[in-house]
Amino acid sequence: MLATRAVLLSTGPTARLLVAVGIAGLVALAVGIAAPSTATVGAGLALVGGQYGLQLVLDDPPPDAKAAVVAAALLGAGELAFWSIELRRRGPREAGRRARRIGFELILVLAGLVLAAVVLALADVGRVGWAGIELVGSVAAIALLGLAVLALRPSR
Amino acid sequence: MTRRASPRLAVYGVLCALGLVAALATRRPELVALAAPLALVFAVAALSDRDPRVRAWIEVDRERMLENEEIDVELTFRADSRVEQIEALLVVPDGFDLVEGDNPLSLRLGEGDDETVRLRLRATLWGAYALGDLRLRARDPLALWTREWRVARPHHLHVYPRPETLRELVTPVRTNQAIGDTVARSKGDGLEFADVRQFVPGDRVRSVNWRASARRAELIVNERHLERSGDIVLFLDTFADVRKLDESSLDSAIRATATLADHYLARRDRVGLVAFGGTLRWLTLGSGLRQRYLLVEALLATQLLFSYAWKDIDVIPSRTMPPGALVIAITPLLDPRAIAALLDLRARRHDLVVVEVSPLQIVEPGSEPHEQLAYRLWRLRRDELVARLEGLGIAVARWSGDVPLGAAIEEVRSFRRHAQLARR
Repeated sequence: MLATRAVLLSTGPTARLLVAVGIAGLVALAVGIAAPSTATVGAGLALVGGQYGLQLVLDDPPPDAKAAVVAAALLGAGELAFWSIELRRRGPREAGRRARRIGFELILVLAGLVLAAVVLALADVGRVGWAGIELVGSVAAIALLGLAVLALRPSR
Repeated sequence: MTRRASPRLAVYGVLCALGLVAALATRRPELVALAAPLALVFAVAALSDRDPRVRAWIEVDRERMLENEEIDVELTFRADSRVEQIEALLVVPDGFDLVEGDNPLSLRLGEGDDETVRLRLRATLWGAYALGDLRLRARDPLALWTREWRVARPHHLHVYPRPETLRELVTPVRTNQAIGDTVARSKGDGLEFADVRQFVPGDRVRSVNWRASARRAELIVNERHLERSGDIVLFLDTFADVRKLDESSLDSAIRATATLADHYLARRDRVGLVAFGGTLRWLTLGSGLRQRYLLVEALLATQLLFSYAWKDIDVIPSRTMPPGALVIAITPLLDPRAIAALLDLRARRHDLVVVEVSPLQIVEPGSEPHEQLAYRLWRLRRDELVARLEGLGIAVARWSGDVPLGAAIEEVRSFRRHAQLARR
């Protein structure tokens, strides 16, 4: 959906390149789910996201307010793809577990949407000329680095 | 406890970094927005990274059972913190089948919750087992973290071989002085009629056979056989085992040994065990309930250990095989060391009986002509061996697990009756 959106919206000589990247992303996603391979799914997500970024760079449109929706959709696609890989693994079934997981995933995607919208709003404020936005960006970058270190620390 | 991150965390980390770098390079805030939800996943992962506090217990309703009996196993889980999903797998040892319940199972536990899950297992094969290895796996709501750990609550289960029905037993030629249920050859106060003789002073009046006395015009008294206990040595050949799927000559041999031990002990005989194989194990003669448990425990510990070392009966302690004891050898007659030991026992004048646990049901002749020829030759050699043993006065009964053991024992009894007649 993300790939086709960008293809449909873009015009001119860049369209063919975007189509190629979008199709490559979709194929990688499909292969990653079918294989199953998390690395291939990751490559697919990168290509689909990259296609959107490429479109922004090549077409250079004004700030896109719909980027938050694209971000949430990308996260949703990734979560569904990884979940389908998880479901391939044999394990005990428990009544209501899938429904609960769907609920948690929806909350996560909605929270992602809100966060992306907030980021876009802050960026818009920054573009207007508020100096504090630099500070917010730095804090966000440090916090992100901290989270990554925390999450990927070696197991006990 | 081991902790594993979902592989998607690494993927999201790379994508997030790529998005931020691309945003810096292209000065497009949309790319930061694209990376922000992925960073959010990291925040959620950091918040949900907690060890689950779950305790587990395993209870079994009993630890001793017979083959094909079922036991109830209760798995109890107590959560001191909320666990969105916990999977538990009870490692069921070979020799048990799950007949009721889910294994592995999945649960959701709230803080302070107690959950008990019941499983029913059936013991399919005799032996000593340890049950109680529980593998646990917990996940957070988004399955970002997986934690695995083991809970060891071992219960030692003893599955006894199911005894065969036996109506008659082979009686030892010699008995000892202790009172038992075996009819001794010697005469005295007993129940079984033996003979009549003239009255001598000191005989009890109630022993007088009045009918015979009237016929012979003198006092005649009845003589009776004493009831004494016998010494029985069960000689279990553990050199070789022929196995095909669920069939095993060693399993059948142990089942037969357990059955014989049960019945002889019930007759108040003294029973001992010699497991003669790669390792030598023995249990000296004894009687009663304690000896029964000792025998069963010894049988449960019996296993096949390959050894090329030549062993003869000199390695067997003499007190385990006293003179006059009836030695019942339970053997597939496959290993030359066991056969040599049997011949040696006979040469030393032991009262010997062989129950051949026949591997013929298990061994298949093969489809090729040379395989079938080899099979026929092998059978001929076995028949020749049995004939040789019988020629030495050893009663040999061929028994396979699918016929009652009683039939084989009756074969032995019949042989011994005829052997006695021949001696006269």
